[in-house]
Amino acid sequence: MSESILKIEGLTKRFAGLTAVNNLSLDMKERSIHSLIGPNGSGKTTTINMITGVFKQTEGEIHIQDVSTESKKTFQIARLGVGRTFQNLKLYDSMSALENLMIGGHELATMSLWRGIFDLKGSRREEKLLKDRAEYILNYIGLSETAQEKVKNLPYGKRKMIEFGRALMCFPKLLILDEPAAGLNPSERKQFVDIILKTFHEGIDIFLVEHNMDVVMNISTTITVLNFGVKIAEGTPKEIQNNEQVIKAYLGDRFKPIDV
Amino acid sequence: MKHKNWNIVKRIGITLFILILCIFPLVDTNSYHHIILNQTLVNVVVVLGLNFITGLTGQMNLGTAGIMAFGAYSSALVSTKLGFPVLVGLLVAIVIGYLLGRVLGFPSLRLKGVYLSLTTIGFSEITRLIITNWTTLTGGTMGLQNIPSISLFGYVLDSSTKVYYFYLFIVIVLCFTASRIIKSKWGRVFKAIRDNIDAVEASGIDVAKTKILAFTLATILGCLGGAMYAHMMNYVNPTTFTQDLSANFLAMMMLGGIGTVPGNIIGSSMVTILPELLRFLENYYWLIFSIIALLFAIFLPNGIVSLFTGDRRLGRFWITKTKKGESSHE
Repeated sequence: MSESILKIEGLTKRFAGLTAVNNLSLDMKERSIHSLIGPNGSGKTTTINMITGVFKQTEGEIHIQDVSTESKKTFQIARLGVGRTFQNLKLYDSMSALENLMIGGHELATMSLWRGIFDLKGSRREEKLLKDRAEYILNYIGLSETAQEKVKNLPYGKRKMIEFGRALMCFPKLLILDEPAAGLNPSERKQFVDIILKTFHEGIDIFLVEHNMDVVMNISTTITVLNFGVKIAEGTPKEIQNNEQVIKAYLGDRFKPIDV
Repeated sequence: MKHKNWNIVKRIGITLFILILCIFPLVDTNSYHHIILNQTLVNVVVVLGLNFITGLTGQMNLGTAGIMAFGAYSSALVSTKLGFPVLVGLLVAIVIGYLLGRVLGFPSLRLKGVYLSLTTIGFSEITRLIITNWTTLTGGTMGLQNIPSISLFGYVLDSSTKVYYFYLFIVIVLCFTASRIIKSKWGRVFKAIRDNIDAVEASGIDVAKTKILAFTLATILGCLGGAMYAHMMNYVNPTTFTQDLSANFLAMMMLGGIGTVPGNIIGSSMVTILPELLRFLENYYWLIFSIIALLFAIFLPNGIVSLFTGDRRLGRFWITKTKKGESSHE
């Protein structure tokens, strides 16, 4: 039995009168792609925001590899090895693709500003380290040629990829992807899925929120389904596709039960 | 290859510029001009600091006058009332700047935009009111007089020319340092906070600490600039440190070009020297200066430095953004 990378117990979030997530528990194992699906407004992004510390949960506990995230701030949770992308792209528009990635790796260089002022050689060495890592990742995601381009001038698909690359910069153990395939055309989507699988096979576990069922059903190890903030099903893609409640609430007729 | 050549051109340009600045007082011996230049150098120091917090990090700081007053009065008091050498006074100003940054940085963790502006204005005004009313310590509206000139190990910088060379040295060192910080991972992360603060945190970067760092750089340079001002004028009084002064520094940063050292130098020089050059217009000189500044702001929204960096949006103000086939109401 493999260990948990992400364990959520009794997670609840209430905004004033609205319960966005209600008593959600899930156990994501190491070496898995765990997807969270559900209709719009079912609390998927809220869950991600609680995992990454953007929102504090009303109740419940989150553990990343047995470390509780309670009382930890967003950047401290990221330092536990959690990388993420956003549903609405959050890039540094005034900067180049390379610089965007280098900021993602900021924590790899540990020299303080005050020391950096006097230690010319050391700060140059750290700068090179960040640049090398960023160039490696750009090459990895197949965007080496855009290194010097300002990200605001890049097409949407490439911008999404840059954000994904930025999340890889600090050697994450767990990567949380919020709708990576949204807004991509079929060829871009295929490219993105290939990269996600490649990173997974290199040892990074993936927590995925996605609306595109082709993507979800093809790559997930386990799927959790949310509806109105409540978990209604959990299992392998096959089990989920056959689950009456899920079909009714979310999948619709397209995913008909498979005869076994 | 092109990149390498450009670097050589840049180095030659910088060396020539420094040489011209070194030779200038020998060619033009008018001491009034030297005083104006000294004032410009002081302003460059302060604007370099403001650039970190407002230019790069995007936190609107309108309390520069208060910060400068802190530096000016602390150094002046240490060297007049306590009788320490002026260099000790300058060091005290730097330490005070460091502490001030830690304290003043805290509001910026919770406040944004106009609320942060109001807080920093409040700080500046409170500082001014304290130095106006604490007469036993600061001399009140009479100000502090007979502030000693800087002396370097017994050699007193008693003329504006001598002060000029010393300040020029300080400014050159600070410009290179600031430029290195801007190009380092710290400069990048400051800009990143301005661009998208959520993403910065998601990358494991302590935004609170980084913002305080940017504030501290601003206050250290602001206080150092204040102290340099005090020892240059040999006199300080509270009426110097009004909101006008803070707004002036902001204008210097914006007109020159946000985020770059050359921009800071150009902006500070323009706002300090141009009004003096326009004095022949007598009553109208400030009006004409304001019009010129306004035109620069309209036609070069990225600052004068954008003329050289190719980043300019010349006349963008007048061009409608509508492209063919798009609705202008978008």
